[in-house]
Amino acid sequence: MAEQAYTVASDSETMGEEKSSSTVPEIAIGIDIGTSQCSVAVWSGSQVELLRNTRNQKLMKSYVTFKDEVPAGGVSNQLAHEYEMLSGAAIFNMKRLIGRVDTDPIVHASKSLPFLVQTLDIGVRPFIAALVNNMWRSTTPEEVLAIFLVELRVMAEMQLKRPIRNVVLTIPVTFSRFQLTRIERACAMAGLHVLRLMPEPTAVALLYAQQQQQNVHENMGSGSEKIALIFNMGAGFCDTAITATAGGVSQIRSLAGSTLGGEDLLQNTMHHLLPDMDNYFSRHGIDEIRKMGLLRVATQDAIHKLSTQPSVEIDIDLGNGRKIYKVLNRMEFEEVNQHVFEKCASLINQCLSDAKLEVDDVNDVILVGGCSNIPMIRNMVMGICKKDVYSGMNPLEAAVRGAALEGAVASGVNDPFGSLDLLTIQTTPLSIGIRADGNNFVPIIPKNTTMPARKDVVFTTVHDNQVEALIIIYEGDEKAVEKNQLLGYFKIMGIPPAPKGVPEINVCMDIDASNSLRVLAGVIMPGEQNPSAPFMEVRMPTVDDGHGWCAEALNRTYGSTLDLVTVQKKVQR
Amino acid sequence: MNVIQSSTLKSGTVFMPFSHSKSLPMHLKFRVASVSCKTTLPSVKMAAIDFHKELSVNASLDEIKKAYRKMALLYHPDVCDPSMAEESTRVFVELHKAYENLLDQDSKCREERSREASRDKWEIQLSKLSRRSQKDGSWASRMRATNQYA
Repeated sequence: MAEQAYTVASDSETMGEEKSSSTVPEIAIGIDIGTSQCSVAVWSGSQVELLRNTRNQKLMKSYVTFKDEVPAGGVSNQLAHEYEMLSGAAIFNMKRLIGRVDTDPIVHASKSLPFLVQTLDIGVRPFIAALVNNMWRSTTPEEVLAIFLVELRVMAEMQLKRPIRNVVLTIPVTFSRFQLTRIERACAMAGLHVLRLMPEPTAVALLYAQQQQQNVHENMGSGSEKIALIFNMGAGFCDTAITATAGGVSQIRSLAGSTLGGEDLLQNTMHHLLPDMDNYFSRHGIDEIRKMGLLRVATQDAIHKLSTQPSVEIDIDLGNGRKIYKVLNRMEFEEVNQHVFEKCASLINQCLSDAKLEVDDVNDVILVGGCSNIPMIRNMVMGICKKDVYSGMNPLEAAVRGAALEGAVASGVNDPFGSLDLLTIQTTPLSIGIRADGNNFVPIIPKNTTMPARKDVVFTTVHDNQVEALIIIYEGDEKAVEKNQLLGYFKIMGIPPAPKGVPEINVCMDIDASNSLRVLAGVIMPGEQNPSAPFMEVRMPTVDDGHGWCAEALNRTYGSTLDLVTVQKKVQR
Repeated sequence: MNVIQSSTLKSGTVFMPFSHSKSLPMHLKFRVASVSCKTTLPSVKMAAIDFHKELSVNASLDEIKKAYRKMALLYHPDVCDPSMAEESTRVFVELHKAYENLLDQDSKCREERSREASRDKWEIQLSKLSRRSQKDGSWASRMRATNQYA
């Protein structure tokens, strides 16, 4: 590479909004950090371009290897062999681990990875560590992600010959607001400022909106509203979206997602080949890690081959007389992973019904992500939608291209040809609400609400002369409150003594243009104009890493003494 | 500077159909202004817009949707200057509320209409049937009658 004429931004501590008054806006780059692969793209002035690393790769493996003092990530590092990534020294799949507590099933499933994932099952951050000189050296998913992002930033700075600060990142639909704060923290550690976090299928939707707009310009297409169903399945997550597009505006109608991806297909198949795998590898010694790597690479290879051939021969020698020999055919692979495919199908159906649309309403079916080549996935998606797959996109580049477009739009770039007269009208991927009516989750901003949004619900007390009320905010779509993600909690004080059911406690939620969530709450006595005490305004989330503890501790300490119930007549406004 | 010129023209024509441009010239400029100009623009009063009226000028569902999209491209905080984030957010929330109301009304109307239509259809069929049965009797009775004559 040429001389390093750039200066690396050293002001990573001050992430303020001090915007220089230069006339040329800094165009934010788009980054798609996949569970397994990662890419960076930027608006070049006329189109979106993917950036390449020094080895001329557009897609780079998402991992960081810890060696001696300097860790190295998949952007700069050249792996001698895939086994090197599986030696225990490399941490990968960080997107699946970030912002999760050690009681999370996803964290538990990650214990079969070569590096160390240790859980105490008490609702705190899991302990993860890389094997360095035969010692487990601890790190965190945020730190690993930050190291990786620094490499990406340096790569982009070298190529674009300017400092990079603003980024648009794609995220899975199912990421909670707490997880988003962890992503933002990792970015801040890497000296990057997050301009937008876009659910992956909505980035694809923006690219689709641009393509439709181009068609209209070029061959005078109809320009009428088009409904697209986007199915995006990568290594770690499976997301769907339905978007209504016209005039460069992509209106997200519904979102649905799950933490199922290629990693699950891989682990299920590994378990199928070696049923006592968990026991066999549980000691996590160097020998076990090596064997785990052998099995992982062989299985991954087999799954890739099954996309183009009906069966594949697997032959692994684990040593000590333990051998795996098997001819795995496609049907067997599909049976082993049946529940994954069923869940994928249910996401599509859920998305359609949430958008209040029928299959026949869908104009285009867009299939993207690393799993889009798997025949079963293609057949399933085409079968449900009764349609061929849209062919205008590279399935591995669609999300990052959409993120780069959003980066240009959000940076305020204008294009003389109108290529950037684009907009995505986002919706909330998950409901946000509070604990009320006993141990129930009462949504205040329901799922698939157009953002920015502002909604309120009126609650009341459950005890006579109740002077305080506990507001516990959750995000998710489970009826049982504890199954949702805790975002924060605070108390409303100074409720005037009154019989139960009389005080009106107003809880308002507000999501602004930058997707930040505020909760405003207070009490107004019936017949009065002004609140009895000053309203509370709390930015969410407020919880930290040990949030698994919090809900339980609150419950133990207060029980139902500070509870609330919804006021039926006031719910609708 | 050609950039600004051409996009001004473009967005200008886009906005025209709403026949409301007189009250919104400032805002129009604001949207199409290139980045460098955005920061220098004075705050624009967006408060006094009756979105309900704006959106339903053309009553068909397609027209409402089209109008909503075009207005979203003007008022959504993502396309407005960050310094006006708060105001554009408020305005967009208004706009969306009006849009949802209109969609709601539209779907209720359709339901009503389709319910009426199906009831009408049913009544027509019913009256035809009853007329026929009074006049010539049922198919079976007519057949019986013809067979008798035969």
